[in-house]
Amino acid sequence: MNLPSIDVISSGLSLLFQFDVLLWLGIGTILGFTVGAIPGFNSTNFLAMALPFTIYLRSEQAVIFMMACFCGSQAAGSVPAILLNIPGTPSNPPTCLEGFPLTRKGKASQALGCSIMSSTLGGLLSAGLAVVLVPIAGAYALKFGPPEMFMVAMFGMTAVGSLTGKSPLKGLFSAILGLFFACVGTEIQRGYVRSSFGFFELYEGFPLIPVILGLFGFAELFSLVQQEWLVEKGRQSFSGYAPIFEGMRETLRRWGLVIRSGLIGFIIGVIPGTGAAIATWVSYGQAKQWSKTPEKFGTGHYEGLIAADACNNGVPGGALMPTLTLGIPGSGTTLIVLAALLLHGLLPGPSLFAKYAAEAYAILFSLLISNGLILVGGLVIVLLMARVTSVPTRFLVPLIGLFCLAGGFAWRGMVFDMLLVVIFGILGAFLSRYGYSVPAFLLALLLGPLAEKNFYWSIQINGFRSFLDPIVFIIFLMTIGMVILPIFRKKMRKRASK
Amino acid sequence: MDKPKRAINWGEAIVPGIGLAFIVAYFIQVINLPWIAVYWPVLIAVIMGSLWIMILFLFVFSRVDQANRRKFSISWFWGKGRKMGLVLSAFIGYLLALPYLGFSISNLCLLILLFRGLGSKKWMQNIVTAFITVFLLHIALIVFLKMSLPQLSIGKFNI
Repeated sequence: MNLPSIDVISSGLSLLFQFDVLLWLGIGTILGFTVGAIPGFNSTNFLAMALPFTIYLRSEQAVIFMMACFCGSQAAGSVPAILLNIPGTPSNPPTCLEGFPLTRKGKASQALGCSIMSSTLGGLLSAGLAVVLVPIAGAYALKFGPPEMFMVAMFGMTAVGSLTGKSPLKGLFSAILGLFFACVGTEIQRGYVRSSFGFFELYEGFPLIPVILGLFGFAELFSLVQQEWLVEKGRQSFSGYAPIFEGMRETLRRWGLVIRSGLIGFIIGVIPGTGAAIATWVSYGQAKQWSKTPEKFGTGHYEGLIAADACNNGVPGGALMPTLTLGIPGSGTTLIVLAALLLHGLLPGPSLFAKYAAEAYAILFSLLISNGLILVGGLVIVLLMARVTSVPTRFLVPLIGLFCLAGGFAWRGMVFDMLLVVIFGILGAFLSRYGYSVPAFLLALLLGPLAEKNFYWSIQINGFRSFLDPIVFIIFLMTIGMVILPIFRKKMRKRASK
Repeated sequence: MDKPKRAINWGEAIVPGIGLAFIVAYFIQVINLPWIAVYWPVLIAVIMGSLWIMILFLFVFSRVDQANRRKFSISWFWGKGRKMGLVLSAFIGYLLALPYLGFSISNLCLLILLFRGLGSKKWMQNIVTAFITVFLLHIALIVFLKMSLPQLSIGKFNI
């Protein structure tokens, strides 16, 4: 096994410890935390909107900025959950369960302190694990050839599709629809232009950024416009710093729980398609099982809050493992990180640590610094957040819309791409309204060319016999399992409820 | 309790409908290409077709509890959902006007129209907010990031 040398690690560190890179890392963390703390702005939407503007940055600046935004926004979702009982991200409902009762008891500051400290420690643990384990996984992934890569791409799409749609069937349909959309543009075998609908702008397929902005940013407008305020007025409560430190001490006293929850976050983050939304519930459940006072859960118990938040920030480190080593994102947010890597020429996959080792290490180490910054930045930002949440949507909707369109234009400088933002916005609104999976659609659109290319190569190498290789067959069985498992689980749940 | 009757659920037909329309339009255009170029799309279309049929039977022609049904209604775009229609038409109008009016003037018109249309009654507040936003966007995107957004030339000035 080719393990990384000290030289490679130190070149990664020297790439990271440049003033401009650290500056973008700081801006990303603070921006991510600020925007992530606004209810209604989930981290995926925010990252999608930030992505086009990274094309003005150098590749390492851009990717580290995106990673910092990811970490910041992941941690910040707990702020509205604690203060307003509104989950900032889909992974925050367990935080609401314990955080908001604490706010009602007049312990909002303690809860915020506890949450910030748990997020930081969970994130640091997970980032440390990622630094050690991701390169090892990368070394193994190098043994993957075209048939394995094809099957891994199919597995990723199936996993995300079957787990993120309202029903597995709709999730899979979303993935296949995305794969079909990826067939637009120049074909890779002989260079034939396949169905560009008469637009030269589509010769290379659907451009990534307008599609992402449409599906995640513009589509959101249609739901935002139906409410007057992001947050009900006058529901904010916050009081000073001293109690925040008290909350932090509560976390430090329960270090065993922090380690357990961070590990759960890391492990579940590794599985593509699961993400933090599942991980936080698992972590919350184990905390309750191990607790000496399980009856206090749901009434504002620090243990539940720590379990949810340490786990929530433990997910990014784990989710990076399949993203960097196989090119399969572990969640909707890592999907945008994957897009950022692709846009900046850092091709994720088995060869990332061979070709761009310094950049890859810089990304991993940036996770550690970013999680440390959450502790400092979070303390300042929570003071300001109560004000931002009171902006009426009649001002926010036009501004978000304009931002999406400008972002769509930024990539190729074409007004046509702005139109694509609107079209994919409408498609995204329909997909989410009827329970289809937007992440699965986008992932398939992203991985479509990779899957097609590896499919053709596999056939050329050894015909259909390529797919009979044991590793390919195991991944194939896992893919089938991903289809069957949710159906089986649904039936079991139905039977249990009867 | 009576089982709900099987009925056509028009709302559920939208996404499969979009999928079908896209496939038909796609294959009409690639009909003259050699087999090697369309091998992969045909494979995907076959899988999609089987899922499409399952969706048709499980969701479109389904036994749906009327109370929990996610209906498609044209009133999304007017009536109760007037604001959604307004947002959509305003942005489409903006895209049509952009090449002629330039980025800043189109932005200004869009913002004032949407602020007002979405419920902000004070004209002065709307105009001032729109002006400040347009100015900041101009500085950030055109001056700082040097994006080549469409601009209207008035004398020596590009806005």
